[in-house]
Amino acid sequence: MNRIFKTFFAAVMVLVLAACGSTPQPTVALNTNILATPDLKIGFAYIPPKEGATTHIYGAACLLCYGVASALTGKLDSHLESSITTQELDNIKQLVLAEYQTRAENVTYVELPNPINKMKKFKGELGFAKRDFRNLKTELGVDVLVVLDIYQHGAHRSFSNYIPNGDPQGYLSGLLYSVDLNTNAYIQYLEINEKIQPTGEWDEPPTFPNVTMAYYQAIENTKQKLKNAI
Amino acid sequence: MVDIQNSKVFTLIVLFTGFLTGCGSTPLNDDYIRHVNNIGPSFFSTSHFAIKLQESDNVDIRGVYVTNDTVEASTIMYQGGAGIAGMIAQIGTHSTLIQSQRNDKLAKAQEQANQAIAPIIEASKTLRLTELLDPGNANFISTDTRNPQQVLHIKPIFFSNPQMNKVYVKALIWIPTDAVNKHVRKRAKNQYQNMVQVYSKPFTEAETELLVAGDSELLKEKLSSLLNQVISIAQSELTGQYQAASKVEKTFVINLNDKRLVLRGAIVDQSCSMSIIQDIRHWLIAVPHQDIGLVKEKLSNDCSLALN
Repeated sequence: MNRIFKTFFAAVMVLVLAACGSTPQPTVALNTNILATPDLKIGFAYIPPKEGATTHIYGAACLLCYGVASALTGKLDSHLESSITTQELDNIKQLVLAEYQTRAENVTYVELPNPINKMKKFKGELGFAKRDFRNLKTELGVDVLVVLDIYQHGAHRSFSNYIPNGDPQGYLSGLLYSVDLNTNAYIQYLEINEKIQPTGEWDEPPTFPNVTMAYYQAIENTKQKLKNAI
Repeated sequence: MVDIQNSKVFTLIVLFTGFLTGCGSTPLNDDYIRHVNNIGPSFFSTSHFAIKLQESDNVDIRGVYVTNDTVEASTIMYQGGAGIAGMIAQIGTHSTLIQSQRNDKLAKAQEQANQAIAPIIEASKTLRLTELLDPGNANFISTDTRNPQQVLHIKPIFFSNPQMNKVYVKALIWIPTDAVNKHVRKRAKNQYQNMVQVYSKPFTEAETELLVAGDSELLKEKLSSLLNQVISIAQSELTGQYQAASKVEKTFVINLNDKRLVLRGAIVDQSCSMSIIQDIRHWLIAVPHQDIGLVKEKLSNDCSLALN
């Protein structure tokens, strides 16, 4: 019995570690040849962040550490939640659409029929989407699907348990990718992870001007990065 | 029982938060100042405006460096049997370690940036701050003949990019509350304090070559222009000339050579060559029009002619 348990435990650990060790999808530069195809129809889907602008805490590994970290950034959270709107995210969305429209004539907004994480998995190598988007070709009537998925925005602060490793930084994270719906291959894959150090002191309540400015710097850097990439 | 445990956790969080608030502070940067204004919109009349430069007459010029002082997460195993006092001592040690790493990171970044502009730093050693003032600047007082509370104190710090083709100044300005205070960072002691920043236009290739070769006269000319613009902007601010400006907040992107700097604020004044932006920190930042993408068609006809 003991032996069976050990074997089972070892098998589970191997599976877990195999997943941990998988190679992450590298950046894929936009394949402009596909976009040059005549009469190509491109659908653009935007996935907004699940929560509003706030401070995202990383590295506060225990419950008490997280409580302390949250308390340290509480006033900043209130400021970000009340003053940062989704206006700039909408501007980024418009920018991606406009940039794709310079590459192809037929680019339209589309609504995804289901959340991406509920879609069927796709077993492909690096360079292929992890979910099977191919059904969307007939469902949405497009040949290429562009997805801008914004994960988080606001501020980012790194901790070593209880201790902050630095100041809260202006922050925007997300992913821009395009999938060829014939093959499920990425024709673009770009991670967004912009963290900007505020100039000078960060802890200036109630308006936290330096962190606010760092947030807008992160937004502008992202816009520039997307513009260069499309 | 659960309530007792909850209250213990709450007490610990409050205790640690209070303790760590100090530990999590930004390392001291002497080129930073928070805006304070307890003097109202127009402190000086134009005829009574007086300035005094920092005590040292040396020109302080530094390389531009990235101020990101966030360090990699460090893992420390806390000894659980040490009790609350022991726990706090261990966290204190951990915090000191991280704070020291953050300071080291900034100091190294500054050192490297200074090495990149070594010719300019060398040339600046022959200059004196007072030499940079316009000869006719009657506002400058060299001795303590006036009540310090009636004088604007200025501490300029100049910066150069690594390519040495653009310089800017960050000038800390303040009016003390009492005669003995000379420390700009003691916020409560100043009636007024703020920052004025002025960016130069990009230098031509020929000018850059001369600066790299150590031409101190050209450096003096460039730094002098920046410092005198600081004084002019400070005078406008403290005589209330920016009060009437419509302050619609927007994002400005300043195109520096190798990066795009974002400012959030409003334009409070424009000359033929510069826009003056008051940002959300209330700092006054003068930027050449072309650096924020303002084209000459948007300026007045006189300025268009001047720019041609």
